[in-house]
Amino acid sequence: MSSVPVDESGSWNNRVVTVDSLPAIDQAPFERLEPRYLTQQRAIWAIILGLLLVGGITVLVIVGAPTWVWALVVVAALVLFAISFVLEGLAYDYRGVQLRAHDVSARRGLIGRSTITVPFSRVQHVTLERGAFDRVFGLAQVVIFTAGAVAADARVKGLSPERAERLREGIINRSNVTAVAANEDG
Amino acid sequence: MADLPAPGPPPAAQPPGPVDPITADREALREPRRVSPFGPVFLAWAVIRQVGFLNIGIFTAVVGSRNFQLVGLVASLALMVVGVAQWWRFTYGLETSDDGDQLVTLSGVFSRNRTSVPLDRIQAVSTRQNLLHRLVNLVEVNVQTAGSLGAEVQLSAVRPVVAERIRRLSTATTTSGDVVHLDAAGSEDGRPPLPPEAAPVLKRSLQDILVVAVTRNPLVLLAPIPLAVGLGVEAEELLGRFSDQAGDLVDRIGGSVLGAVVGVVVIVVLSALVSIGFVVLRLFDLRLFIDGAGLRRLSGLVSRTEVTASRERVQLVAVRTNPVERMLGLRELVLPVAGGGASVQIGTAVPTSLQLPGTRPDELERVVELVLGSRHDDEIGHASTYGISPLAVRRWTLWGGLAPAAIATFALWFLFGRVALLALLWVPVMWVAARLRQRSWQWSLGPETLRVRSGIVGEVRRDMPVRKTQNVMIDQGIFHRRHGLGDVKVRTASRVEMVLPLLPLAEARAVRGELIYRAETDPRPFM
Repeated sequence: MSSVPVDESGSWNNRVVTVDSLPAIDQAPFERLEPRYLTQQRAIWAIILGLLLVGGITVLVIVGAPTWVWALVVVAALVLFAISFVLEGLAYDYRGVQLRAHDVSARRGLIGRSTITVPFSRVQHVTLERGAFDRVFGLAQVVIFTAGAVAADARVKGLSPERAERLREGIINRSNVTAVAANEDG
Repeated sequence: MADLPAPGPPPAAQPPGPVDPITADREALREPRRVSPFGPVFLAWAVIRQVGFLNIGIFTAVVGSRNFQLVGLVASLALMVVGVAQWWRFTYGLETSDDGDQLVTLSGVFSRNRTSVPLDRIQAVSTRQNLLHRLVNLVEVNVQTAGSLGAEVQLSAVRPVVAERIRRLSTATTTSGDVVHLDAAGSEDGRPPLPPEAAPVLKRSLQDILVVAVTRNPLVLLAPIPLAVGLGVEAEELLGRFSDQAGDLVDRIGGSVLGAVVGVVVIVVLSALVSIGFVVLRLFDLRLFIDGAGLRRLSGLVSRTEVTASRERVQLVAVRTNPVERMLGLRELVLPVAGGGASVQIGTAVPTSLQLPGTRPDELERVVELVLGSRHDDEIGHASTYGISPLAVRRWTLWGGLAPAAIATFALWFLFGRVALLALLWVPVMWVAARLRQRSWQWSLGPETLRVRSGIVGEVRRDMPVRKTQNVMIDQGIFHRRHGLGDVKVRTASRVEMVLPLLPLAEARAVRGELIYRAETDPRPFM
């Protein structure tokens, strides 16, 4: 627990730091996610709405509804898809990850937005996850855990597997988890 | 009734001769052992309680009535056999390797699972005694490490001395090993060294606990009303004999309304009494000790729990005061600790905080000094205090005032017509409340501590050592974005997070930068 990065003087001190001298997270650019991630999100919406549409049409066939009702349902599905298409695009523009010398930040959100920052010294372990949909689109997620009692602390979705692997390595190399991880494996 | 051993050196710690207690403990735990045969019984009882007697009764009635008795019998027998087999295959013991001592458990009927916990990684050893445990003087032991949310190792039924031994060994290892452990020595931030032997910090008498219970359930103070009404009715009956018919009618109508009111009050008072009973059961004989391992809290009338936490494991100090408690000079002190919560087995959960209600100011000061250091109050007292954005008033009035008032007016319009507009009076009330609340919100960031306080009538205060920061989040809802605001959420290794709501975005970012910088540069452990 003691191998936390120390400042330039090599030992812990309590010198005065002005807030303005601190490097600002929000002024530096965030790395964008793979464009495939946007395609994935839109595809998920298409599948959900497609299933709903098929279900709705099935019901309409059974009930024997007139044609204009069908048309209305199809148009509604298309409009919803168009809306989700645009909104996902906006959300994608904001999503991103930023790696600094001592911490990692991830931001997300569309209407409500959040940015979470995890210092490397607090990272307990990092996992690389690939769900079924991620594999189809050639994507991977990196999940960063600290000692916080809340489940996962930061989740970076929509990375290519190679980039996810590099991010994971980068975080692990900069934090003190390697020793612990090696110990637990052995 | 059997009781937990008083904290302190138990008899095994002072054998005649040169054997030192640590070696004795080590030898005593060396042999792999099973937990007491009562273990599976306790587990079965916990399962039955969890499922619920009613469900079991219904199930038995349904299954039994359809001639499925044999299936039920075989299933229960199979469960019993599995339970006994699991108990038989579960052993715990101490193993010594080059890396030091490890607590090793072996379990699994068909698979073989081995869990080894190095003693120097043990962060807390908590025990619990349910009624059944107490009858046979056994305890359930939960061993936690830094990484675990719940218990890493759980011994369902062992003698209390085993818990004591594990605790002593882990303390000895942590303090003598190369692991930096600020608990043993005092530290530069003014925290006194821990006493080698258990010293009491606070102790609650039954009277204190009753006071706490009543301040939490103030509705019990309505009890005199039904009593008074009861006496009143007696008196009225005497008078009623002389009154005329018309008076009787009025009495009867008035009486039924009065009866309904009294009935409601009786129900309220009874439920308050029940919750007071539960508070007393849970907090009975509440004590806090401090010893070489850190803080140790005991409480409970029927089932006794003992929670230990090294003081590094305490993540922040939360003090809550309601007006009644303030008058009586009492505070509710909560010390959220790292980890806890997740249950490994049915019916068990490791506590997520040390709850110390009814704490007096001098005791509070002592605990704060032990956990945060003696200079803490001075330090944070001199830091500049900041408020939150005045726009909070608008937001809280919108959400807590206008929205519900509009809905209520709309709903009541159909019932009462124009009278429903009275519901809109809620808005100015909430506006005043929001204004007071916004003014009461204060936060300050000292060299060591982040403090947040709020509350109109009562007060909630949280002091967090800045180095306990795990991550920092800035959250923005739609209102926040429109007005350039942000909520700063500072997470610790405990379940409790510090929230600085509705700060101007630039300020929120500055606080985040500062907190993250400190977390990155402070080499002291966060637990």
